[in-house]
Amino acid sequence: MTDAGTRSRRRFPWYAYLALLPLFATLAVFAYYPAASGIWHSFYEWRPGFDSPFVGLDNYATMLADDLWWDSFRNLGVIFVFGITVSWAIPLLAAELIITLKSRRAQFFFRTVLIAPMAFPGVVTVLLWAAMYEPGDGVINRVLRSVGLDALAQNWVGDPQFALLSLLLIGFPFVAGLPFLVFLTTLQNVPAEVFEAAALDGCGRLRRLVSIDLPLMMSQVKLLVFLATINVLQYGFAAHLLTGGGPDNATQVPVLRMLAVAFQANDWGYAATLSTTLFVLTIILSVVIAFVRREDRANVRRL
Amino acid sequence: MLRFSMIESTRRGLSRPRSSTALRLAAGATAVAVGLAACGGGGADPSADKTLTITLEGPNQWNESGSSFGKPWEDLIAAFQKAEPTIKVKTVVLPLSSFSQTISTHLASGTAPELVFQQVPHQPHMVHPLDEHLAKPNPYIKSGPGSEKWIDVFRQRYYVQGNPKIRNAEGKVELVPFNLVGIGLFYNKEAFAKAGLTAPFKTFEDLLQGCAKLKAAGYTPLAMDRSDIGPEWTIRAISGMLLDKHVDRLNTYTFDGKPGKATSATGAPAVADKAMAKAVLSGELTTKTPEVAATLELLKKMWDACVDRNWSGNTEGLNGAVVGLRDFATAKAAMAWGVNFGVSALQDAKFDVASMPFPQITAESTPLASGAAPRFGASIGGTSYMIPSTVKGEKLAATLKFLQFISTPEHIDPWLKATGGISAVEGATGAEETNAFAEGTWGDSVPLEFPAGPTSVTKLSLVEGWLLGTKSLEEQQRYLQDLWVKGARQIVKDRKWNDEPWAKA
Amino acid sequence: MSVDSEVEPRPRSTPDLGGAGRAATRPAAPRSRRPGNQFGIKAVLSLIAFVGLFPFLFMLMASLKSNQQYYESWWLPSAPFHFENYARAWAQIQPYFVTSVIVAAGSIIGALALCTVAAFVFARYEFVGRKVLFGLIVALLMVPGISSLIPMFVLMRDLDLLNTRAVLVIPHIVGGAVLGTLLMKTFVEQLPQELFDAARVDGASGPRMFVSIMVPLSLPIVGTIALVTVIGVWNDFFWPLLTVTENELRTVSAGLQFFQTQNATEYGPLFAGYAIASIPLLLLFVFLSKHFLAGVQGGLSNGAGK
Repeated sequence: MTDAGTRSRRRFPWYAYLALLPLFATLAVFAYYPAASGIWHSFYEWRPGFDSPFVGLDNYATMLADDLWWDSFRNLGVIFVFGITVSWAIPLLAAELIITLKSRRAQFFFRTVLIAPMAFPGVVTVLLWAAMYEPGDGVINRVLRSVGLDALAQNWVGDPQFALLSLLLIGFPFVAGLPFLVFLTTLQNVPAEVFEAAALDGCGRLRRLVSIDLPLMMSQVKLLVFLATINVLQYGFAAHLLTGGGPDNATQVPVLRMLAVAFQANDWGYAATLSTTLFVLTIILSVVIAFVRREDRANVRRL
Repeated sequence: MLRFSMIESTRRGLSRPRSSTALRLAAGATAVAVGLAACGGGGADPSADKTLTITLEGPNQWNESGSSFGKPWEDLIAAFQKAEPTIKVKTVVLPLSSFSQTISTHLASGTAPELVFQQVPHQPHMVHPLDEHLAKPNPYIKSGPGSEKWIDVFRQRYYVQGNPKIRNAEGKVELVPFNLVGIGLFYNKEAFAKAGLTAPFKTFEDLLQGCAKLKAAGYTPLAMDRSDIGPEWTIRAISGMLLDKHVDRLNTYTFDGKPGKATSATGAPAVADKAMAKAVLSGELTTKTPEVAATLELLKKMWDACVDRNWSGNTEGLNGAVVGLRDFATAKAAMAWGVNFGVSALQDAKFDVASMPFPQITAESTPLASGAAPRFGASIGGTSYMIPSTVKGEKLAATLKFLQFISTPEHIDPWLKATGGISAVEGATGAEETNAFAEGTWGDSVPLEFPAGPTSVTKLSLVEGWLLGTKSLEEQQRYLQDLWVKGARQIVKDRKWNDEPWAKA
Repeated sequence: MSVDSEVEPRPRSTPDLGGAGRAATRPAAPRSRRPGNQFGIKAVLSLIAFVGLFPFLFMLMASLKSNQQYYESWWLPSAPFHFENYARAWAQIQPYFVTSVIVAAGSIIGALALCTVAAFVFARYEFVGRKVLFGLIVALLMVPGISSLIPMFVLMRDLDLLNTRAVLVIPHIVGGAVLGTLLMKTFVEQLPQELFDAARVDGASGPRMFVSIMVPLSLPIVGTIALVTVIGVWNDFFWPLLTVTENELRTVSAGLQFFQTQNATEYGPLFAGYAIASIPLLLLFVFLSKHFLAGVQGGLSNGAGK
């Protein structure tokens, strides 16, 4: 096996393709085919169990004129900004605090407790938050009233002004998730000497965060931004369960519109058109982001 | 972070059926506790040579079991299997929260079983038209209505004869009802006594004044949550009265879609879907029509006087039986919209519950009052089933037999009595405590009400901005007009009326 | 050349989700000026943890209530406690546990089998089409779930897989494999090159390196993928209800849906059911947390020995 090195430098190592075959065969049947089928049927009046008349670009023409669809994009900007700022701030803080702990036992304990909420089903989380948001009896308003902040008590999900923010805050403090794990892992991988050197130079905690920790995390953060972009376009779970796009369309998003077209209006062809469009938009955005994170080149190391 | 599948559920307990009034399922008063014990249906199969199994798929309206609709249902099935030993009926139970998406996907993909629950989004091509079969005798009825033509056994006032609107987009009958559903306002007797009120309210003004008194007595007058059905039912009641004077003018097509006047078999005029689409697209009925504006204004007035300020944030306990159930059940609210079977949800309440119709709108409230009586109390739609169009041959014959069996008075009556149901067929008495919902003018259907928006838009969203005060009347009129036109366009497209002169864009 | 070239005071330590790896390479460096027991930091972390877990305390609270009690105040404890809610919930979901466990196990095994190999190849081999193929996998993340739902259902119908356990497992294998490949590729790329170089000098083949270096070292990420997959299975109720109409083949999450009835949602038993359903996840969670550490330490000593 002494020639392993030379062999791996070949441009067409057959065993690499062979090793990828199971994954791609599975994906071809159960991921690419269904997705392609969805795109294909966006040109039909799609009736999956019956004959589906071809309608050409009719569905797309309908979409262009569908102001309900385009209006549903209005909230995505807010959702995206929230998703990459507020919902990362506390995970970042928590990760920084944990690596500052000296006791390994304490580190392990807090890490486990902080991500434990991952083990609870998303539906329950939304259900519980819905109860906490109750305008009359909900914990949030009760607490506000009990400390004399009556003016801050709101009709959280029922008021068009606050509904979107309330939905976004579900899951606060957002620690039980991928961003936290990514931050923590990255920080733990920073060699101790870097921090020691920083401390010797009299580099403060905040300074270190800005000039050392964050730059070190950049490549991971870019991955998170990429995932966040995808998630924003597919946002809708909590809104679907809780507000259905209301009140007064304040929480309307494209996915809800798509669900309504599919399951309320039973117009599968048009729903396929909308989802195809969403897919294309996602790809465009991802390409844009890929350009932004240009320097993150392939970092293959040869065997 | 993780990708979740977006279609995981519908909003809790809420469904948005295609055409009929929101979710008005029927649920059992006595069957609630009958749970897991009754699993397994008929038990041992008599291993007959040619046993045919038909499967019925629907939401669990009666208990929390995932395998049975309860003992009365099993008894009904057992009685049928005794009468037809070669047919076995299997029940697939779906949870209330997602049955609608599940069944409509099964229907659309052609994988639906022999019988499916009717209140799900579907299109005419997915189900069997039953007209031809309804014109033939029902073999289980030896004499009387139904023995010559199956359709005759149903109570005319509610089934197709009296309420042609339950025909589908192609003008066909597609459903067979197991029972009827009744709608009304529940009220807390103690609260009314405390506020010095006597029910029922006669006029809309009485209602508003009553709300003021209930408020003074410390109650939220009318319970409300953010489901579709609270605003939807209120609008139907109010607009049904105010728009009455337009019925004759807008009644331009028969129920078959031919020019002429539509009348139900009970003789009452009605505005058919096609006439409605024409009225909207030709501008004969707009949101600027004085009676439409008056409906919106009275609705808002009622909301301001009777409904809690934070109603739109009430996401708790949404269900198909009582609107704002939690507030009403805890005696926080004094009145609530509900269906007859909601009584069983209220059985633990610590006060006496009674019900009343919606009050009449008189000249006192608006000079545009028509004098028409409040209507729409009872209808088909509690528990109704359809046969998917993919069911053929022997299975179809067996399925029809089952439907004929359950529309035979003596066979369905025990189930109705046990579940608190109102009978959909002549000759079955049903449950005594709920029959009143279907009596009087309140039990009639509304001849003309607000047009529908597009099916992909929730009924609540049509008026929510107006009720919350985020839209002015003028903005609301513009918004609603746009959605009415979109809804009418959709109907025109679905039913291929594009060639009508008024349907041209 | 790679991301870590910016700061390279010494060879990188092994990435580590558990936190123990660092201790092996960095013996308790005095980073805080003030020794003490770091009470302030612990207090803040405790607060964050409490807020995160807070809703679930109320789940436990609500699980002991009748609907009437729940309506009156869903969050304060109120007597009498309805422990029978747990009995009802258990009776409801007990028949479905077997399916859930089988589906979860099948999904994890399937997803891991596919993604570990693929991630290794993507991270450590260079070949024509590597970027394109990887891009194809990333692209799957961008396909909205709903757009594949109906085609997937129709496909399962045509393959005659409806009403089988396979139909429940397949989507989770696919989802897990896609996410797993992405996470694990990133992870494997950051494994110290020295380990692989040393192994190559020792004459190890690709498969051998896969088995003896990558698999043990990537146990933390294996744990993560397993956990994510199980959570996915536990969360998903729409697909099981759509594709399986045989009651015996339903999953726990589907079974819990039945507590929302026509008349009222039965909150007590519903929350009790979710509490019971969370137990296996919590156990797995605690177990895997420890596993992260053991796996990393084991992998390190092996790697360092060479």
